[in-house]
Amino acid sequence: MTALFEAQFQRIFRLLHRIAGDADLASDLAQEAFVRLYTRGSMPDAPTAWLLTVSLNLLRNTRSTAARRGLLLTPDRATHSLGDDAPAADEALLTAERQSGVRRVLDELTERQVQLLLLSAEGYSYRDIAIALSMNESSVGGLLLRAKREFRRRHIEAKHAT
Amino acid sequence: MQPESQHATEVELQAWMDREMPPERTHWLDVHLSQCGDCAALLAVLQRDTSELSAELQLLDVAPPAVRAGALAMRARSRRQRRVRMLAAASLFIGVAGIASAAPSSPVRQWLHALVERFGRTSESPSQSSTPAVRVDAPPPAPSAAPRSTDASGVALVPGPMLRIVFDSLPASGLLTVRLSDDSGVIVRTSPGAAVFRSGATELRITTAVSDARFELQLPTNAGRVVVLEGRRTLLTKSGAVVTSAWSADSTGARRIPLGQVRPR
Repeated sequence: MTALFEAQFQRIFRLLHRIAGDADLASDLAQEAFVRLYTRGSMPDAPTAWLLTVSLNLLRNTRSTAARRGLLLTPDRATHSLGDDAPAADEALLTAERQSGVRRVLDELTERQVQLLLLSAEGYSYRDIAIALSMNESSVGGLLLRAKREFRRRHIEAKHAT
Repeated sequence: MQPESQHATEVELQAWMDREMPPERTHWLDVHLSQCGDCAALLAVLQRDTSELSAELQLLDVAPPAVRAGALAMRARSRRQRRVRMLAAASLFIGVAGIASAAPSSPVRQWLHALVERFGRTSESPSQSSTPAVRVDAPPPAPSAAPRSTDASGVALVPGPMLRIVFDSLPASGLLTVRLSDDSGVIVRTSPGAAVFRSGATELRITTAVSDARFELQLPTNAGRVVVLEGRRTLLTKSGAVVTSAWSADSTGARRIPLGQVRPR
């Protein structure tokens, strides 16, 4: 269990943070997924896929609960304190702009495309991705390729627009 | 085996990059990429796109929280213990309630009955009166001593410590036959359509619908206090083992009480 935690906690945190844009929420949900695994008592057949499924479900539930309560789950995704140092401030501003650009492009993709891109970027196997997203393993490659093309197309469009 | 001249698809190249190709296809593609400029160029584009995507996504990252596996395991343990305690408490409650309801003259059955009545009433339409819900219990098989038609109707209920049975609409002439039994439930039988039964926690109200209705009432010997009334007139009182009535029991133990002696107001 400890080895699984060491291997997966940061990846799952990063995945959830990239999707939600909220570090506190991502941390809470990643921890909750592991607490549920420990509470379960026995190891599932595919532990990584199990953790991914639980994490993504927790995030989906949190979002739908927040939506029901009328809350907007789009926290301040790029809060930066700009210091007095002008070059550092310029750099931070540039980074913040690039971050919001990436975030905007991700927001334009479907939930499934975002999940595919981010799971693949974390290096998860097609099998784990297929289980986590309830899809056929043989269709992961094609859908992933389409999601990448879509991200690139929209990213280029966004760059040209600015 | 795929011919060397045939190009690899983008999906195959993507799978090759992700190390998700079967070994035999991987070998073929390894060889093919070393010989086919088009496929090698396409692969380079895919690799560049993937690398750019990875770099863009890394812009979003923040430092992960410092969390120890041990702390999460402890939280899980405490959650498991809480579940076990809740389960134990629920089992204890159910056990105590079961024992309490089995005890003679226990109010628990009455509480449960009242709860069921209240719950059942909330699902009724607002137009229905405040009278307790009509019981639709099928009556149990008739005691062998009593002659009964096969299509008889009636009601059966488990009495609490106190039960009033009230005939509130008076037939011109009718007959009530009362017997004691060793069963645990109060049973009232009559002919189909002869009466409407409404029961609450402490009262069974019988509204007669025909002029010469005949009722057979079976009272459990171990029931607490039972009072049978016609309107406001007391026909029979049973308090523990003592039965008081103006009509005495015959050789079979049945009391035959004529109904319709009081004029409706």
